[in-house]
Amino acid sequence: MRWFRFSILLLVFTLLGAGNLLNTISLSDFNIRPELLLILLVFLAVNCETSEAIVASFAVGFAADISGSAIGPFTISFGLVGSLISQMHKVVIMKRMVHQATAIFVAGAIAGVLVQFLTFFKTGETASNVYVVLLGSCFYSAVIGPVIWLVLSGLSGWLGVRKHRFGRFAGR
Amino acid sequence: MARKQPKSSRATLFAGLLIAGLVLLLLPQSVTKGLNFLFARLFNPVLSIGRNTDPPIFKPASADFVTRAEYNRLQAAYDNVRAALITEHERYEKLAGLRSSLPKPGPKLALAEVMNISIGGLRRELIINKGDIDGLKAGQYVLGGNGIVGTVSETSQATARVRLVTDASHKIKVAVWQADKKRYIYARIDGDGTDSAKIPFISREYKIRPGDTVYAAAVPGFLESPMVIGRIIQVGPDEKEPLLWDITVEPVQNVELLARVAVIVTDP
Repeated sequence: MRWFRFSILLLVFTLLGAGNLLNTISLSDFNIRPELLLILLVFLAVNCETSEAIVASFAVGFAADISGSAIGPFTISFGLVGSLISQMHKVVIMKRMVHQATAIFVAGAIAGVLVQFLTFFKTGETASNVYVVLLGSCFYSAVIGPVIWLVLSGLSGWLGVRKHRFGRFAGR
Repeated sequence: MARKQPKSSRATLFAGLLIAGLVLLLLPQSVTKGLNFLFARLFNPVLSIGRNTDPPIFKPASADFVTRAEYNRLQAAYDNVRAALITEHERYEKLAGLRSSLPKPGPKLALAEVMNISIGGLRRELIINKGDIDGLKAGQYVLGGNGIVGTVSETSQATARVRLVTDASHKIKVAVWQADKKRYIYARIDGDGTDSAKIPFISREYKIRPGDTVYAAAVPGFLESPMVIGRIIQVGPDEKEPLLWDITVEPVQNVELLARVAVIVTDP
């Protein structure tokens, strides 16, 4: 993994996620948007070596925290979920878009629930319609995810991420 | 043959990062919020891309007509003046006959530029360019146009975060004006993460109609007299609690068009 290039990509995804540009493709009155950092997390967790995936997962989480309102919830949630996925890539190879979308949806749902819990733990704040927005953004991310995945796959050489081939790098 | 990375080093790496995450989580919000504000200030030009502050172009048919936005602004100004008049009248009635001491300084307004608007998912908030050094503190009410748009949720030295009334975690006390009975009904307004907000727990024995004005209730130390938040646009029986109303409120000010706001800074 080329960490400087990863930092640039992470910054771009963070700014897109935190800015107003994605509001042009948001859905419903809740302004449900795809979670680009979630898609990046799952891609890196699946395609990087385990130790790189662990560091990248926590880094993506930290970036999500900095662009939000509380430090800590996303760092821990994304770190845990990304590390778990990196363990599972030895068993499941996500070549097909359906598998990628499913992984993004499940990872987003688990991480989302954890984030809400940890945010409540830190700030004491609750929110209305949490699960509607959470599931909506997970679903939207899962739909958009495979498209972003293609783009990231194209950048994988530039990033220094070695994409897994079926059976070839399994077990590393 | 490549040497296999020992599992213990991966476990150590994971444990170390997890502990770092837990430390960040356990650090008080007052310590870590500086990072969030630094990010917002540093990347404000990029984060603002896609934000449109130009109102839709409308040419009135004749000089006797004004735009809807102007009408709302004037109506809100009228409602605020009427609420202030009622409050002053009540205060005068209580103080009549008493010798007054030195007059209490009134609240002042801190004008601030809106650096960025975050609208997405559950979060609806503004970042403004005033902070602790300007007298801002959490809980202060924020005016946009002639209506209350939210309250200050966090401050740093020169920046503050304003949580909008429509934010999913925003709850404040409100007063619904009943024009026929000339009285307020006090309740709570909850943001629901959309462009409107809800007022729960109002009994159906009260006559609430679409068009009724909703005010932010006066709070000692923060808001001297009620100020307009919005209008009721929908009223119906609550599906889960038939004895209560399901009330939807539309804020009087379209926040996305705001370039400047005023924070009501009260003297301690």
